[in-house]
Order: sequence, then C-alpha cells, then structure tokens
Amino acid sequence: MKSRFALLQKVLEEAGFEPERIHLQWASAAEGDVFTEGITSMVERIKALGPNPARKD
Amino acid sequence: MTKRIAMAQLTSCWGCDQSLLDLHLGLLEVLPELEIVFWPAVVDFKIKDLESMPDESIHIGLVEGSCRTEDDVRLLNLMRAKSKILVAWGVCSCYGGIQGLANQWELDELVDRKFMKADTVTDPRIPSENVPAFVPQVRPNVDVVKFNILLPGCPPTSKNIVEALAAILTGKPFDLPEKSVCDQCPKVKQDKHITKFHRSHEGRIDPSKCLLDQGYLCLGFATIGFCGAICPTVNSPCKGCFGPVLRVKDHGAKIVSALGAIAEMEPEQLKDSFPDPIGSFYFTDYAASYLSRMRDKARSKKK
Amino acid sequence: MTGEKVVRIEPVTRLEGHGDVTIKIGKDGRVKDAQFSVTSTRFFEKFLEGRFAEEAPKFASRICGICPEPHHLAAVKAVEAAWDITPPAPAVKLRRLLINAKQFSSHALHFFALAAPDFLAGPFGDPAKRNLVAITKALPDVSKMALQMMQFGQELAAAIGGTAIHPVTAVPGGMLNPFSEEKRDQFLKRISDVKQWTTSTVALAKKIMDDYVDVVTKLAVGPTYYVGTHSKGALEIYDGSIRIMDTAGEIVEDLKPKDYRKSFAEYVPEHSYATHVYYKPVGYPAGIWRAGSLARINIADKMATPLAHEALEEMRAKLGRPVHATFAYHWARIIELVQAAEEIEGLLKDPQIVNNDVKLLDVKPKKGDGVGCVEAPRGTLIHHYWTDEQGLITKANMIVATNNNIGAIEKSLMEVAKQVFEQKAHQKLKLPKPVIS
Repeated sequence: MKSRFALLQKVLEEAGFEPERIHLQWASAAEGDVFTEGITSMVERIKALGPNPARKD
Repeated sequence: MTKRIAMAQLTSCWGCDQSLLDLHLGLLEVLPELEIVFWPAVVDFKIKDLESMPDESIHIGLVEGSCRTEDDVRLLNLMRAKSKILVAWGVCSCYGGIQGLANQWELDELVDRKFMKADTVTDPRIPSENVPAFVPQVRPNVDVVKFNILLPGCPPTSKNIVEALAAILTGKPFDLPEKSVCDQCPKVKQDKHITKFHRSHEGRIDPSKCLLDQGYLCLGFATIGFCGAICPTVNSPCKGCFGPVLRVKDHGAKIVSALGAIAEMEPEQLKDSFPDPIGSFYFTDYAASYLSRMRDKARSKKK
Repeated sequence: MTGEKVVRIEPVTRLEGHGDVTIKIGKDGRVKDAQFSVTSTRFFEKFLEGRFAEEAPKFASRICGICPEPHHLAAVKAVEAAWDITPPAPAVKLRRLLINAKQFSSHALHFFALAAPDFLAGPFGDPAKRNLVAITKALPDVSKMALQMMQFGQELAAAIGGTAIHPVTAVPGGMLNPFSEEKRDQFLKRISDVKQWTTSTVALAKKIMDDYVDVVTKLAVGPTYYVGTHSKGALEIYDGSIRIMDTAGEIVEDLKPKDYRKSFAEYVPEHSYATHVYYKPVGYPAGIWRAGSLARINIADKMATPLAHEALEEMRAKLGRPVHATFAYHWARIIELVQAAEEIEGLLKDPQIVNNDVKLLDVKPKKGDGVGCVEAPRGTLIHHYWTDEQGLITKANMIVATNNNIGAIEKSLMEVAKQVFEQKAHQKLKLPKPVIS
C-alpha cells in the first residue's frame, strides 16, 4: 500500500499536481480521533494549497 | 455490393495506414469489397469531396491519429457526420497516442521549444499563415465524438484490422479480447519476487522466462492482449502501447496499483526506480488518463 | 488581365502527413507565391525530455509509421554516442539489415503506391483512378510484384526488429534478440525472387523516365544544394559521413555527424509547422538543399554494390551528375532499391548475422550528449540527445529527414506554377498514352 502510494504521489507530481493533495492515513474503527484529526489537517492543507491550478511550476 | 470506406488521418504517424497496406497480397482480397471514397494517403480525393458527401453516406469511416490542431477537430467531426460506422483506428484515436505525453507541458512551452529555442533554428517565429491553431492539449477523440468501434494498437496489426473490417462488412459484432498480453506471451511465468527493477538495456535477459519476473518493467499484465505479445517475444518488455485491458479506465493508475502490490521493496526504492512514471506507465494513453483530463477541465474552467 | 487568384490544394495526396498547397496568382497573371504548408506537428523534441534515454528508440520510432526503423536506429546511435558505447559487430550488422529492409519496402511502396499512379494514369488522368487500387485492376501482375516486394522488406524488418511498424529491438549496447538460422535461411531462399523483381522494377523505372522524358527534363529542373551520407565515396545509409554538394556539383563540405550544427540550420516559415532545413554557411534561401534518393546519388561517387552501380552509371550517362531534375528522384529511388537488395543479400550470406553475441551486458548511462545520424528513405536524419548522469534525456534536437526537402519542394512548386500558369507548359508536353484510364 505504501509503495503504491509513493508511486502515485510521484505520478501526481509529474502530471503537475501537488503531491500533498493526496494523503494516506491508517485509522482503525476504534481510532475515531485519529481519523478525524487526519481529515481536519488534510482539509487545512488543501485550503492552503488553493484551487487546483493544474499548472506545472 | 461494395461498401463505401473512408480513411482519415488526424495528427499521427501513418502507422495504421502502413499496417493496412501490410496486408500485402491480402489487400487483393479485401479491396474488391470496398469503394474507397477518401484516403489522402493513397487516393486523390480532396477535403471538399468529403465535405460534399451526404451525411452517413460512408459505410465505414476509419480515423487515425488524435487532435493536435483545430483542423484535426474539424476533420474528426466531419468524419463522424459522414460515416455510419466510425472506427477509432489505432491507439492515437482511442486514447490520444504518444503525442498525449506533450500534455505534461503547457502549449506555449511546447511551441517555444520547437519554434523559438530549438538548437538549429536560426530565425525563430511562430507560424501563423495558412496553418490551423493548436489545441491547448491533446484530448482523446472519444471526448469529441462518439465512436462505434475502438480498434486499439500502435499500430493495430494487419490481422487486427482485417478482423475488424470483416466483422463490419458482414454485420457481425466486433469485440475486443478479454485478454492481456500475458495470455499471449510465450515466456514461462513464475512467482513474482521483484526486489529490483532493471532498465531495458541492463543485464543479461533470459529469453525463456517472464520479463517481469526478471525485474524488467513489462506491462503485459495490464495491457490488452491484441498484438500477439510481439515485443516480449523478442525480449523487449511490453510498453503497453495497445492500451489497457478491457474495463480499465486509467492504464497507468492500474499499473501503479499493481506495481505497489508486487514489488518487494521499500516505497522509496520503488519510487526511485521510476523517475519518469508518466513516460513509463502511460506510453500511448496519457491523454486518456484521469490526471490529464482533470488538467484539461481545470484549464477550460479558467477560461 | 484577370483578377487575383488563389489556387488551393487541400490536402496534397499520396504522401505521409498533412500538406496543403497555396498558389497566389496576381492580377497580371504572374505567380506571386507558392506555399507548401505542413499543418501539424507533435512536439517530440519537448516530450522526450525526462524519459529514460534507452527508451528513446521506442518513442522516436513513432515519429513515422512508414520509416520507424531509421528513427529507431538514429535514436539508439545518439544514446550510444552520449554514453560512449560501441555495440558488438553482429549487432551492427543486424541494424544494417534492418535499415536496408526498410529502405527496400519503403522505396517499393513509394514507387508503386505513391508515384506510379501519376505516370500510369498520366497528369490529366481521372483523380478517381490515380491510385494503387486502379493499378491492381489494370496491371495485376505489376501490383502483385509490388506487394510481394513490400512484403519481403516488411517481413525482414519484423524479423530483426520484432515488428516492422515500431521496431523495438535496438537498445544502447546492441540488439535484444539475435537472428535465428532458421529465419535467415527462409529469407535467403527468397532473395533470387527479390532480385528478379528489382530488375523488373529498374526496367519499369527506365521506361517511365523515357516515356515522360519531356516532363523529366523540363518541369521542376531548378538546381539546389544536396546532402547525404557516404562511406569513402560510396552511398551509405546506416553509418556514413555527411557530404554536401553545391548547385554546380562541387563537394563543399564533408563532415562527421557530431558536427552537424556547423552546416545544418532550420528556417521557420510563416506558413508551415515543418521547418526548412538548409545549408547554414550560405544562408536561406540560397542554401536550400535536397536530401533523399536523388541527393544521395548526387553526392556519392559510386554505389556500394555492383548492380546498383551499373544502374547509376546508366542514369549518369543519360542525365549527368549532378542531376537536378526533380522527377529523376523516381529513377534514383529505384537505383537505391537495387543497392538495398544487394546489401540485404550480402548480410544474409554473412555468417556473423546469426551470431548470438548481440548485446553488451554492462552498459552504464552517463551525463553527456550524442548525435545519431542515418539516412531515412526521405533523407538525412539526425537525432541529438543530451542526458543526465541517470541517463534521462534532458534535451533533444532532431533534424527530421523530410524537413531537408521542404524548402526545395516550395522552390519546385514555384517553378512549376510559373511553368503551368504563366507559360502554359502543360499544354505543350509530349506525353505517352496512359496505361490506366
């Protein structure tokens, strides 16, 4: 899973998208807080990145 | 009764036309069934002849290539209007083709490199007289018009082409195979234990064993089995040039997913093995990928 | 006095690619301009950036579906030059066999499918009948022979390259697959037929040149420079030095491919996406040159094989050296067809061709740049790649064979437009009776 994710991030980068727009978070059913925290920080991260520019720097 | 057939070339390499001609003596059997009403490669009818035909008066229209200019888009729409059965002829027409890789850059970067900055150009300018405008990125033809039949290949083999034509001429359905290249490959497959990937020029290839097992990036497992595994047969790892197996929408994404599963190495090592994932995983179908389409959508929203 | 007129040909047919012609005729009836517009391009030079250099031969072959082999080989030679690699001799022989197989099938295709219809139907023939399909009906024996010739070349190319359209076996360091004795024997068995067909084609080409002598000697005969490769003066298509000849027939330059930038430059026209390659030292348009069959037989002192050389001597006895007549390209092309057949025979008979040692095992990429040059059927082809220490391509520059000819195509178009529209030359031509009507 981690390998797949690492490679996917690389593909995103090469296609002109910030790799931080995807995030892999492990959270079991009993770890509601981990899950929530993961979502919240991701939303903040994406907001900071702004609309998808689809533009290579 | 002969069927009226037209072959149109958008932006492409002519490989599909060559593949049709490579029927050689077989042409003498196929040609009598056909009345060629438009095929600039081989016969002298002009665009105005195509334009003056009644809609749907062409029984079979084959479109090779993808849209790089506005003239390509016009010709594609013209072929759709004039043809009863429209065939996406070759992987450029089905998925954008190798020129889809240009979508990794903006159009002005492409134009700049070729016309303004090329090492041997002495008087740079961007041509603008009697030439059609470029479209901002290569979109798959299927996003522009509806096709009746997809005939992938880079190019489709002469056998593939005749199979499709025979089906159309006899009114039978033409179905692409539910196979992958692996199903057609003569190499012996074993369990996969890939701890390192080799580049295609590296090392001594064992001609009897599966290339992926040996650590070469052979994409046969995710690629439609329509070509007869011609490349692995000669020890050249499959580059996926015929496009994905049936029902896979994004060829490269499927490949990334599978590699992540079978590679026995650390994520960073896998990532480092592929410094050019788009060139390696989307050889002829980047234009049809989710990412390329998303970028196109974002760009047109901006306008 | 008539009004201004614009003649458009949309598209030019019986060629690979997209070309439109625009001829502007002024109110006084004089031809003001003749333009050949190539109306698309795919930006290979840009999208090759960032790729594994050893994959370039498979990317580059997609530049052209008629001549993927020359691109495949120019690409691998460029990478080998960049990484300082010399492939084993048997691999070089396989590549020579591959390029000659393609030369053979491409020249047969060009002559019979693209060019012959004009001569068999005549310049005033019905457009609906000026094509290969009509030839199959009117001349079934000729068309069968033509198809068998193309088949031989394509099948041989596939046997060496894995597949004929977009070959895959050339990698830096050699070839991925040796040639089996079984396959070699099969092709060798067919050689005597191939040579017979080639001899018939030479006779056909000579007859066409004779029947159309008026066209050949009067239309589009303006001089240009010429460029091609040779090996010690003999016509060579895989690994020669570049030679440049001026309009008077003097050799003005002999250079190694790696120095091509001294002599090759690209002019970007306003009206075409294909650049015009020309002879840099004399500037544009004075330096407009031609490449391909006619250019190669001009710059070469001799052919590399005996029967081909005999055929060349015959042509030179009639037309001299250099030959500027555009229509003589068809004759030159068939002379090259003879050399391709003889080279193929020689290589098939060479015991090294089935050698198993066709690939180096320890090829390492390095930072550098390299030039790979071969002759494609349409002319001198150059691939120049820059790679980083990982062996990824950082930059690519290509001189595509056809682009050597586009400036001259326009020049010929202008010449013929004047001959037709101003001098009405087409009404005075001595023409044979058409074979297809």
